[in-house]
Amino acid sequence: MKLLRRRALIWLFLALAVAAGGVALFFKGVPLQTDLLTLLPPTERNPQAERAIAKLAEANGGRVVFLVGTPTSEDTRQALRFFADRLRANGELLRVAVEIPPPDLRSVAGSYLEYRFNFLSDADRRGFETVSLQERLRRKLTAPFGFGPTLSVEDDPFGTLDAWLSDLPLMNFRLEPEGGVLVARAEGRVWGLAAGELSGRAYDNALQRRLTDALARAEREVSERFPGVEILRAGTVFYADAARNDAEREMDLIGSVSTVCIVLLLYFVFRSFAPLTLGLVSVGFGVVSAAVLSAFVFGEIHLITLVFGASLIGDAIDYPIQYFSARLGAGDAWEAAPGLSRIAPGLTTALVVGLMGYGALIFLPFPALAQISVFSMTGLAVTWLTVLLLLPFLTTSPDTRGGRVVVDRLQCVLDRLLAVGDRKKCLYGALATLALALPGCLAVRWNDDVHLLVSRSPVLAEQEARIRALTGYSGGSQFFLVEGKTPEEVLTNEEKLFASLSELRAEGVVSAYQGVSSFVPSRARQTQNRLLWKEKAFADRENRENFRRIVFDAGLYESVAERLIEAFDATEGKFLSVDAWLKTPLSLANRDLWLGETPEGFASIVSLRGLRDPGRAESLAADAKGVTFVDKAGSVSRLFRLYRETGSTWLFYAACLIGVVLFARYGAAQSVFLLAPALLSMALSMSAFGYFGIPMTLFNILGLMLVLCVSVNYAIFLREGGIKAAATLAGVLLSALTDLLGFGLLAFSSTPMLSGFGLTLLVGIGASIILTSSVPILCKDAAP
Amino acid sequence: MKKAFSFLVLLVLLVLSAFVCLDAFAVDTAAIDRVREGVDRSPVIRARFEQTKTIRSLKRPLVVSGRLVFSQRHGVLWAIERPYRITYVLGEDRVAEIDDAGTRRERASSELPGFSQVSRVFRALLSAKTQVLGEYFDVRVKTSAEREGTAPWELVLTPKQDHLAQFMSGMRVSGARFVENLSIDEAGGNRSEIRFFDTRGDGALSGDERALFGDLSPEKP
Repeated sequence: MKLLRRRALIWLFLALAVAAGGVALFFKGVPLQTDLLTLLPPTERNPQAERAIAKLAEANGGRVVFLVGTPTSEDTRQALRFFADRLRANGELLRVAVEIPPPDLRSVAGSYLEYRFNFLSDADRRGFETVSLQERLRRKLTAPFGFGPTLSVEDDPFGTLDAWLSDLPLMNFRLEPEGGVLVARAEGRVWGLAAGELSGRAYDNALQRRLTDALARAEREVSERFPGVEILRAGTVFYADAARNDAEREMDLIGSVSTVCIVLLLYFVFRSFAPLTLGLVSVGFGVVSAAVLSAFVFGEIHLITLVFGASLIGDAIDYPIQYFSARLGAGDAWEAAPGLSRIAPGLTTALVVGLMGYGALIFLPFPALAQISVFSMTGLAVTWLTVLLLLPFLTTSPDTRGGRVVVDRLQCVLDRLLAVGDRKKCLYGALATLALALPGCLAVRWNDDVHLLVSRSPVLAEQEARIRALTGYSGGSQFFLVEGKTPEEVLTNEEKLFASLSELRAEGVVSAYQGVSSFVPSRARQTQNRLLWKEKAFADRENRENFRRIVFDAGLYESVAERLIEAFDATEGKFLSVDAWLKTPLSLANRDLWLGETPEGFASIVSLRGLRDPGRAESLAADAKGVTFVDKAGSVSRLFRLYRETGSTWLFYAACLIGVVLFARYGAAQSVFLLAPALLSMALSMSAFGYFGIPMTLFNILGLMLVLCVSVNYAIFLREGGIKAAATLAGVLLSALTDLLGFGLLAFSSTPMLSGFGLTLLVGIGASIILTSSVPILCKDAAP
Repeated sequence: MKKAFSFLVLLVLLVLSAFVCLDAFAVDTAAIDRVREGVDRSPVIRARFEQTKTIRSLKRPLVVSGRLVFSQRHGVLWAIERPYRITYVLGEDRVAEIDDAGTRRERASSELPGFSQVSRVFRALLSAKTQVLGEYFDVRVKTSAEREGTAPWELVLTPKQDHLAQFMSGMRVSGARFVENLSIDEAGGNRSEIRFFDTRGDGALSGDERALFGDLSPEKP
């Protein structure tokens, strides 16, 4: 009794420490991380590529886009302005921009006009010699309208700058200025654009909530005033909000359903609230400690951890269940200390196996999985400690109210099982199971697509797709990173890349691309273009006379030619630089493309649209100097594949390791008996995916790892319980059912990663309930 | 920059469209009705044109002449015959330039900034969505009583929006059964006068004309 009290005191100190830590954290506030991207490990060998990805993600993360659509242009403009006003009225959540100043032609063309001889469109550069200046001048003068932007005759009499300007990749944007706002027309509506920038981070939960409320209010007010208005939205923040809502709802649902079922089950068996309450205290304390420790270690708790943690209850409750089953089984003969020492080795072996299973997750380089791993190991260990330290002190008296009926019934089942079953039959059973599982296992397909990680709200995805179609706005995760020691080197590397890309575009592999060199050619190219002009018109006196005559013959004033010659001489040795371009309004929409100075030199991004074959882009980058093809989604998928493959190997080693632990305690033959049901359950679980044609992922491998741990747990408990211990069987069945409730419910999660995990466990644990019932038969002779 | 192009195409389309649907300019309804009654509504209209461009940097005004085919269904053929031969094809989704030697340079209209807005005005005009024009221009109708000249009607269009006003100060269209005169005042002081004559309505394009539009399907009635 003294011993029990001392142990309980130790537990009390532990509980106080955790409580103190919890209170401290509560006052500090633990951020709940909902950003699924933080789950992704770094993938790029090129550190600059990771930085570029981060920079783009940050820039995109804070951006939101709204399209407000009504049937008429007038209504759209009014509704748009009203919508923006309502949003602004909600404080500093968003900086909303609606009005655009009328484009100033002069200032846009200005910087190009100054160096006009430095720019030639691709077609003009290649065919500069073949079209005479007379011909160019004639076209410019007689055309009823220009094929693209049109400068005045005196500024660009030969139309070469017109051609250059119309080749600029500006038209990726399908919106038009109208009445001071940008509009697009489609689907029988006029859509007005409002662009917003968040005042905080997209994954800040408080911000998300306030923004959602403010938006809902603004939308309501707009539709009251403009009935039939439609408002589309796109932005990371909305996805984050939807994902958080989904996860919270699921966590509540899965957690509460499994808790209620577990409570009912426990009450059915024990007919008393004491085991139930104490069981929940043990698990609850385990989960709270896990949360506190995880928060201390990681500084934040990821949403995925909490969702996963809700299902940890199912695993951790095994320990108190085993304890109370033993008490129930002992009947009137129950004494806490000896009772505990009888089941302690089994519990400890189960804990070791559990720790090994969850511990394996830590070796996978996914930050969130490491957190799940720490969370689960802590939860299990603390629950185990509670069972060992606290429960014996509180339950010294025998269980008099328990459901003897259940135990007696199970003893009958067990006796029949032992009478009918023998090793031979078990062997046949195992072979039959293997025969059943094998074809399914062979039919398994694998899927390493990164999009499994993220469940995107279909409503939002549809709205975003429409916004993309309406505006031509794209924010792909595939791009080229172009590097060089100097800005000039970056630009020349880009130009070489563009030459290959134009071939890909001609083949239809990519539909559009843009980079800084589309706007600012390299010095080398600017020099080359000037040289073409020089040879044709400005090289020497004779040349210049000829140029003057051409202009004169076309009926233009002499001053036009003189001014052009002056302009040419004035820009000798001068070039449009990237820095100068960045200061012009023309660069406004494309500044993100220039990454600027990096530790290695300079870098830029070449963005792509409609890439059909990433493999071609990859091989193109491999051949080009200073060019890296970045495909974050592709890289992560490849990484998934790598870890899935390593995970499978690790699964094999984990099974061996558990085999060693079992061997050390139970000897060679019995460790095989204990391990075989677990391995067969895993095979069955895997075959289910093969038979149903559901592709398996890395997360199924993780699920299989848990099936292994849990099945081995049951086998250990049954082995420790022996042939007379119907109470142990009751405990194992209870555990299995609670595990099914805890993990199996994850199969219904909307996050593909969790549902895959859940389905694996649902089948695996279901199978292991049946298969591990062979353990008492197989270990008949060895049982104590 | 975008608008320079849009604006010019807009003008051409606007004026050509006026051949068919003056009811688009339903600002002064009574006046428009009087004008509209007399306007020809054939699916295809052929005309000759003479354009006089007064450009600041040109010593003398430049005179360009040729013929024009306007099909409601296909778009516009603007065939310059003097001083040089060159044909412009303005289709529904493509624009092309065909030089003297028959070389065709084509571009998708979606690649040209501003084109969608222009073609929208175009379509709106054809389907008589009067609201649309009012968004771009203040439209005023002058009947013969108010002004000199022989044409029974004249429309005066003044750009409403700043970005249009950057390029043009105004435009006048006049005519009887068909549009006869169009004058455009550009913001930079340049001016363009187009006279249309020998105008005839027709039911369908000829095979050659359809080929120029790049349409090989037989014309539906």
